[in-house]
Amino acid sequence: MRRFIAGFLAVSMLAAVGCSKNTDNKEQTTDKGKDPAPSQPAAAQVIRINIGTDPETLDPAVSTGVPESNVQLSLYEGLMRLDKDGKPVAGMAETHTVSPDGKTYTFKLRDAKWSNGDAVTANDFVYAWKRALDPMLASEYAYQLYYLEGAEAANTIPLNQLEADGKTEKKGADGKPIARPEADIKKDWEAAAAKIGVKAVDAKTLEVKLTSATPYFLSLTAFHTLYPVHQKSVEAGKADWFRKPETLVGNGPFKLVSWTPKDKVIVEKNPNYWDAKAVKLDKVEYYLIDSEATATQMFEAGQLDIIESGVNNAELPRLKKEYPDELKILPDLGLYYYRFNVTKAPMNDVKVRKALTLAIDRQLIVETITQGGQLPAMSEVPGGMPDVSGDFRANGKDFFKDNDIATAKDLLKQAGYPDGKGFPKFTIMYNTSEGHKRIAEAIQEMWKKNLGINVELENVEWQVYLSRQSELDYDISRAGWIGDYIDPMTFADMWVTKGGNNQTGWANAEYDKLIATAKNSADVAVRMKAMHDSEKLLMDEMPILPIYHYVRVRMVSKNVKNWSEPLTSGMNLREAYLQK
Amino acid sequence: MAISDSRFAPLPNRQAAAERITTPPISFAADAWRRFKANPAALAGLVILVLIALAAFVGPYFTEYSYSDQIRGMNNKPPSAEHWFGTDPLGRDMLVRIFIGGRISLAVAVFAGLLQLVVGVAYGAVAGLRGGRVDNFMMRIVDILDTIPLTIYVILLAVLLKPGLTSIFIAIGVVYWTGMARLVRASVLALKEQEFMLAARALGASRSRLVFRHLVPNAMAPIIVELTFSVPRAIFTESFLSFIGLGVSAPMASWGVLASDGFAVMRSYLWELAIPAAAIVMTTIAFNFVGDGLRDALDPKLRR
Amino acid sequence: MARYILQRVITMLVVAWVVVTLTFFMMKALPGGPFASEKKLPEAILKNIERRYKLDRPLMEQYFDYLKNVVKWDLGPSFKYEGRTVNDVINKGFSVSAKLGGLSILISLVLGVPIGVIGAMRHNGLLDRVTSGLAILTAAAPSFVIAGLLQYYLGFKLKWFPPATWGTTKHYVLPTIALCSFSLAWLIKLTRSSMLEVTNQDYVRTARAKGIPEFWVVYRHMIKNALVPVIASLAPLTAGILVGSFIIEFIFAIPGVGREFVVSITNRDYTVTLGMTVFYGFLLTGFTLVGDILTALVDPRVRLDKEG
Repeated sequence: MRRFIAGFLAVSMLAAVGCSKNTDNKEQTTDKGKDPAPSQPAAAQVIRINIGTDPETLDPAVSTGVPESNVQLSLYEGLMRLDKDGKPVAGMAETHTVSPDGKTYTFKLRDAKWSNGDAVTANDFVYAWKRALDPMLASEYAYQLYYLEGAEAANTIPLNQLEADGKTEKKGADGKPIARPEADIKKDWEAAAAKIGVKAVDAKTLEVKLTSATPYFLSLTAFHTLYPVHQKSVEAGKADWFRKPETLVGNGPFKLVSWTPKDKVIVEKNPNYWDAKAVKLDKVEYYLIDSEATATQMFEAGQLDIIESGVNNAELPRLKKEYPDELKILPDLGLYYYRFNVTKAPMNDVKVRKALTLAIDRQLIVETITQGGQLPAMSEVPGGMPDVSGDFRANGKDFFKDNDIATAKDLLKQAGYPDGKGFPKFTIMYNTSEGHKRIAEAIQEMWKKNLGINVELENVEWQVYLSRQSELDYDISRAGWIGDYIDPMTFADMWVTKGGNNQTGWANAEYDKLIATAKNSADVAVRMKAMHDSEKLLMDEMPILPIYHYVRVRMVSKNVKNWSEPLTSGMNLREAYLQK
Repeated sequence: MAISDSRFAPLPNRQAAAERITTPPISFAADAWRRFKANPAALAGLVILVLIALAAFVGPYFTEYSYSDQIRGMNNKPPSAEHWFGTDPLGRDMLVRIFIGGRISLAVAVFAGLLQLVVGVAYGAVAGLRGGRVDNFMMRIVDILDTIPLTIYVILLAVLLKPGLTSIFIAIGVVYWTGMARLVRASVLALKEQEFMLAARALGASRSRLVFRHLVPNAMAPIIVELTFSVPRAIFTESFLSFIGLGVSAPMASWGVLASDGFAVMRSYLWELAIPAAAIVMTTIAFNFVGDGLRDALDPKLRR
Repeated sequence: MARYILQRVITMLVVAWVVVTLTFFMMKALPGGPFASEKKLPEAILKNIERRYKLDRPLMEQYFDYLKNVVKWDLGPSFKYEGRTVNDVINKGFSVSAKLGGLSILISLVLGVPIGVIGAMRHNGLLDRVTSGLAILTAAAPSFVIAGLLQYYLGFKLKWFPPATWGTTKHYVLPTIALCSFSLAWLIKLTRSSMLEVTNQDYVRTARAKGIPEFWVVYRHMIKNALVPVIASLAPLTAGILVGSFIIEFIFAIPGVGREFVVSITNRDYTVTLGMTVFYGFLLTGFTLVGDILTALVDPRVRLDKEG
């Protein structure tokens, strides 16, 4: 019946628009498999990829999100870039040397050009990095550059008037801090900026000084906050220079053609790219479809070649069956876990925390709920991080047994709640999402069955969730963490006392010491041992309840060749091409 | 032929009998009910509603599963003899979940309806009847309530209140009557100038009598339409509130929430969407039949 | 009447001010902020950001600054989308949503009112039963289900229209059908009911008794009266549909303003939410005023300025 009315309306609509010109030929050229074979086999090399949300910016210095990093990966290139295995290889820097103490890096730049033909110089990096650290630009990711000498000090110069002690802020009559004059802040910034550890020795030589040896610094130079930007265009353009192809001058394999917010970002091959011959695609169209169901359907209809973000997780079993070759499960650097609020009874008892952790069947959760090949987590740090030799996770092994109900019951009894009797009322808080709900419901049922404990569930709006979590206004809270860089530290340093991302109330001096050791040591063996020890301590104390390690689920058409998406990177289409 | 007087007998005085009302006097309500009963569609609608309500409130006692029981290995199973409405992704029986969900959704729908009838109709009628500056003031308040995004104040309420049915009622109560107020006010503006109103006023009818005996019955058409349309809207507003964190907590789920959860798996497990959606549609249609029947039954002009 | 309209326009501005004020302080009272994220920012960086966006100023100062700019229709920068002003967000998004919404409301009116009238004239006839049944079915089905089914069957299975995204005339078809389904159903039912209501009015009987041609009776005496509630409901309906539907824009991936509205609240993108709210407020009060004037024109007995 509904189809009848829909069809009726459609016909009347078509009659109304019938005379208007059909501008719909763009799609026909790229609609694969449906039309008779195009006359030239090497026709348009265009890849249509969905990256989900509209980028908030394409300014590499201020962007923080994944959709942004995907597009920026096409538009810019750092000193290093990641190859398809995630190893840093020469990008803008042809060669580099590291000082014996691991603190000074010297990069020799290759003869590369910006998309407008200007040469890429060491000064472009100096400008870009200092710009990212400028408190006036106020980049959220400025801290990605804190490894540089003097960087943190420059980024955090006081903005308000201080008391004589030079620390506390002077308060005005209204109790608010009093802002310093703009000119004073600028002066301070210029003085501090001069001390930042990045220097152009000559046009092609860049010298970088770090506060301490950072083994993953090379990989970091492939990260977008450290991309160079074209000074003249940035300064000539207004606040929206990165939204227009005239002022977005990049040095990557592609250049911007157009960006329609909430719709599409289109980039085309950059003929001025230093390795332009390696680039085979003419164009990449980044679709900005939020809805997973829609994105998946667009892929199935052949209107998308890649879903980087937006595979419909709820339909994974069907997709696995119907698209065995297209559905790709890639490892990820992430942990899905629950936080315990250790400041509140009964969660302040480590036995309770352990009992709850052990009484969960993770295997069942990943098999029946997440269904994407996620790995049950009996540890904090996921696989994929290098140890002194081998893999950090493989060497560290699991810390407990999955679904260990007997031990859990025993621990609960020791804590004074035999068979869950007298266990106080408590709640799992999660931000609203069907996936989180299902997992919470499953865990609720497991605790009820296995331990005789009743937990309530509470879903809250995203920002309410964030603020309640940081105010420790919860009993148990859902959480997730994706590592920023390939080193266990990206997980380990979350749990230091009063760390911004700790949010469990857990404080342990020994743990803090281990992390400090790891951070300040140039000796890889010492670092890694400290981090293994810290993870063991964390799992002994159990302020968090690990559930599973993430994977990345993608759909890639069989026609797309030579793409790569290593850990911590966006979808790399530099060398990708279509082959029908 | 002569006719003797004896052939005539005086008729008994039937004056009283002739004037007697043989059928018992029927009140407005009884009359309306009589006409409502005569309308098969309306009656069917009422029966369906009663059945749905019965299922929702009594049904769960007759199934062996509870709405939160997760049966291992029974995830996403299509309807069968054992599970009439199939199972959901966690292996829970959909039948009992529909029953339980119906409690919330029906409660919300009925509450929204009553609210519109009581607050919306009265507010709109007063604004329309008073007219001029009072009308302008009252209706601008409606504009303000309609303009401020629902999401903002629902988030605020979610922070202040505990999730649950009362919170849902409060959230719905603040804004849900404005559409009705607009409709009734417009109708009253037009109706109050009609002759019967002039007559009623001339007879010294009080303002409340004007509203409830004369204006509202004559504005019944838009009122009933708005009421009918508000049923599905209220059910989906509830699922939105649930999304923000004001609704009932998982694992309990209303029809609206079940339907939106089912939407994601539409192509794999169609019943998970179709069944809650069908429940909503059926309820709405039943309400619609009852509404149409009520309109006909209550229409003063159709009384004969 | 002119005096009345002037008075209404002034109250519109008052309404706008009340809406701005309430929304401003409610928004600020919400937990979180535009720069909250799962990865917590270092304190100093947050300070830099708050200074850049003037979020470190006293609340009242922020409020009066905002008011001053709103008067000039300068709605400020978006906090979330670097380099975009709220004016730009609204202009771009609204140009899409308004096209889609305008088309939908037009179709709903052109089809809905006549179908409703005919349905009432042929009460319980075949057309009446079919359209009335369809209308109630569409109203009852959630819009995401309608949108999803259209996308799946007409877009994906039959490939008649693109299943999603925006650009060509073909892209209009599915979202327009999905968007107008509710308003169409509403107009059919409301017109039909209102027409039935006036069928038995004395003046209609009188007109018929006088032998006025049926067409004229329907047109002059019935439709005009039946239209009163229809017009009243059109104001919120039109304003709502023009600023777009989150669900429709989400499912069909349309770069409209409805999505921005909802997303900006989750993002705590204060300026976008405020700007959208004020904008919507003007649309709503404006359409309400137009509706009232139309009512007075259609039914000359309606005296808006008369105190009761």
